[in-house]
Amino acid sequence: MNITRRQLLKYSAALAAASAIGLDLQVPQELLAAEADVDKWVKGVCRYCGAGCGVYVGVKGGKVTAVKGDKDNWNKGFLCLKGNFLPAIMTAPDRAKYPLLRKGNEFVKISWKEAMDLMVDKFALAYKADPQSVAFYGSGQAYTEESYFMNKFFKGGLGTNNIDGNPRLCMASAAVGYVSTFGKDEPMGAYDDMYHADCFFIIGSNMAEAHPVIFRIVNEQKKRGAKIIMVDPRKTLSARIADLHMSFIPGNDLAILNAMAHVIVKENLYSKDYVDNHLVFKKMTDPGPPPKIEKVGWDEYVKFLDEYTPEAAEKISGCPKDDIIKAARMFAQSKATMSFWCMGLNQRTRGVWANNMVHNLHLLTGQINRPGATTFSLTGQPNACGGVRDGGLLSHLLPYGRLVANDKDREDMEKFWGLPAGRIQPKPGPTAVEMFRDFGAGKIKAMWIACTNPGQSLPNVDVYRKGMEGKDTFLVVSEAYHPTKTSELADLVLPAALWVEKDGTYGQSERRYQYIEKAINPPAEARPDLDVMIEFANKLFKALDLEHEAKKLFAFKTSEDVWNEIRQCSKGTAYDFMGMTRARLQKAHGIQWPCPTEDHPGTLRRYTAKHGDVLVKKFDPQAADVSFYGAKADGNKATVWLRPHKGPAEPPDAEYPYALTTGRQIEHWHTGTMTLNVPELKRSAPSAYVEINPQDAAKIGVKSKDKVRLTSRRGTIVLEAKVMDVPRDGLVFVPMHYPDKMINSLTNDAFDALSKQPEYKICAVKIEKA
Amino acid sequence: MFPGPAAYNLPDPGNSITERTVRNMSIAGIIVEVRNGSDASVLAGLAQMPQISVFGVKENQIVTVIEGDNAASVNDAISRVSLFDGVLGVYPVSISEDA
Repeated sequence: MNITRRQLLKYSAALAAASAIGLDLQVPQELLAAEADVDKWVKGVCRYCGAGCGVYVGVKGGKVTAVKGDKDNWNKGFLCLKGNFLPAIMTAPDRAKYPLLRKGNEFVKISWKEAMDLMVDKFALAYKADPQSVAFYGSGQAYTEESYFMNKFFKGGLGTNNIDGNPRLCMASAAVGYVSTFGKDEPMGAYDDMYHADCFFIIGSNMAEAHPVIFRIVNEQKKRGAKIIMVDPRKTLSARIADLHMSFIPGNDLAILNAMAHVIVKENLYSKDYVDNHLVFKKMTDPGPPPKIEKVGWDEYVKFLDEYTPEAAEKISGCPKDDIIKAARMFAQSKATMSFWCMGLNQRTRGVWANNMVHNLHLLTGQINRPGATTFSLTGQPNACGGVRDGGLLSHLLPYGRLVANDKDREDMEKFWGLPAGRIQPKPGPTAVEMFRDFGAGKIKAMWIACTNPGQSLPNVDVYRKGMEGKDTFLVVSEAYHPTKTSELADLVLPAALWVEKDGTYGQSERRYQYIEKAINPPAEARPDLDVMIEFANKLFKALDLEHEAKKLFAFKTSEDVWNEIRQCSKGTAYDFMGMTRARLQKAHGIQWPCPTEDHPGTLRRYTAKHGDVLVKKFDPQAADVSFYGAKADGNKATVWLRPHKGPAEPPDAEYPYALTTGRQIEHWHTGTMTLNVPELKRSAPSAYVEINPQDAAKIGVKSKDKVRLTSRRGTIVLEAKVMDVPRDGLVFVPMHYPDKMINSLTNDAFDALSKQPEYKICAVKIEKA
Repeated sequence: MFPGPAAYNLPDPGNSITERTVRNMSIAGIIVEVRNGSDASVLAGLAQMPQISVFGVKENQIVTVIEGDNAASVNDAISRVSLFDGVLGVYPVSISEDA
């Protein structure tokens, strides 16, 4: 058989698609043999969202030329549009290739030695004047080993908690929501639950565009009879498969969640077993800080819900009462209900409350801790869970469920890291927005930003951009691309290796950790961030006359060295990675923690002994099955919170009569540094626009393609209008990806008092014809 | 799921990336998910598109391969298929590009 290259690629593509759905496709043997017509296939994980799709990366001639889904991983070989175009991000023309130093308005190429010497001088000078004047801003895209190292370097080595990361902007409310309800962070369920659920409750998430591969499975279940409830003020692409789409006045969904609980209680749809045996009830009596918490009983909870009748909730939210009643019944009476949410709940000034209230519904109804019944937060970045939430990169955290404000946790980490007592500071450091305020005010003198783009992604961004331009401060940006909206403000740009140009570990939304093998070398002088971090830490400590400590603290040569310390650090905690050796991760298609021993297969569902969580017996030996063992102080019981309704910080008013919300398009990801570098994706979605409801468009007198000016109390922007029946009346939507039209010039930097996550999702704007 | 053809009337953003412009073959393995009972009409629609080959059908999922001169033309075809009546989603599984 004479096989052409085209035939080969065609059959390979068909085979990949057929195997993804279990279709037995007969392919000529010659083609199978020739399929591996790349130099090698390297196992990894997609670079984009927190779904964590397994991929194989095809390498030919030292370049990434192809990518295919890993059919043995949870994604069963499927990738989304963005994932399939990953090869193009590696060779983009704006890859950062050399260290660059700002000279006036220009950047000039310098050597790594010059860059490192300058950085050490600047950080040492600042640190000697005030140890709290240096800071690091990290990322949910960095590898776990990189984030762990920087956490150890700053909190342990330098004794400063001035270290936070971009997951503060996307996942902090979910993290605090899980901790305050269940005692420990991260979902207890898994993607596998989708195959067992017959009701999906999706709130504040446009999964079809933001998490398409997960949404595909929901779609599959829909075809098998599962019901879909979608709560969203936009009629998104996700909503087109909804059995019940509940639209509401933006920012007023808390009333809906309480009203659903009201119906569940009034109609006796709750689980007496859970109420009697697995739950405590609490309310916050004073927001603080620190907040004052009081335990209450079931009766008080029932009384609290009295005012949240479906009728009352309809008045507040605009969502019809009959829909609220229907949703409550569907949620409670299904065989198994699975909830999904994302930024629509998290990026809110009451984000933690909203998270608690979704958990409340699961706990009240017992829709939890069995296959298909679970409460599952979707994640925006590939390693927000692994590197930052689990690894403790945020300013109030220490690794693996420990807190800087907890005396015993600090003592544990000081012992583990071999530090003198008292080195780790007890006061949490500034959170993302606070950190950039401090930098702008000159309180922080030297800052290092790695693998993220706050010059575009911070809310009310223009204010913080001015701060980043400071004349008396020093800003280092490690990036794979230059210029970005952040690197253009830097004093020093360090070129970073991207994705499979280095090796490391990602931990995604369902507690699955996956190893990414190095496939190719980085371009020119770009280097893996971990190498740069280790070198810098050693050199800075030498400059601070702390060389003896550096030898002990930073004696890592490879990412595997760091990973092995991480495993030890998690040992005995509710995370416990001890069984996840690098060798196992290299072979496996991900392993889910807890995984305490090398012969342990990983844990599909937490908090239930019956479904395989061995830590139930360790932390709560008396438990027959379910134990929320992270909540030891509450007798291993989860908390149902009494959270009153509260609207957004800046609702529309007479002067700014529309609500603005922002979000993703299927083609692009975050600030577009990667996807806007893929010509095919850029051609498909080239620029920002504003979605306007037809009724509102008629009122304003605009039609599609007209230019309109959006103005908030913070900024203004001119965009092309798209008049469409997607946002409800009174709401406009703008995608967040475009550096030339930064919608974050308008968004609100007010943040949740508990999670410190900003309210990107709602602010008030006015619209005029431009 | 994908933007309509109108989105493609916009000017080409330009491409200065020589490594990409030399590619002249782009081939994608695609799953087309359809509503119950829509298989036949969607298959008929696919048959009208010469750059699409159908390799099989299983449980409302059609295994197809789309061929194009470049990834943009594959993306255009995906976009057109996503607008067919009865199509619930179009999911690329693999895309290969070669000179």
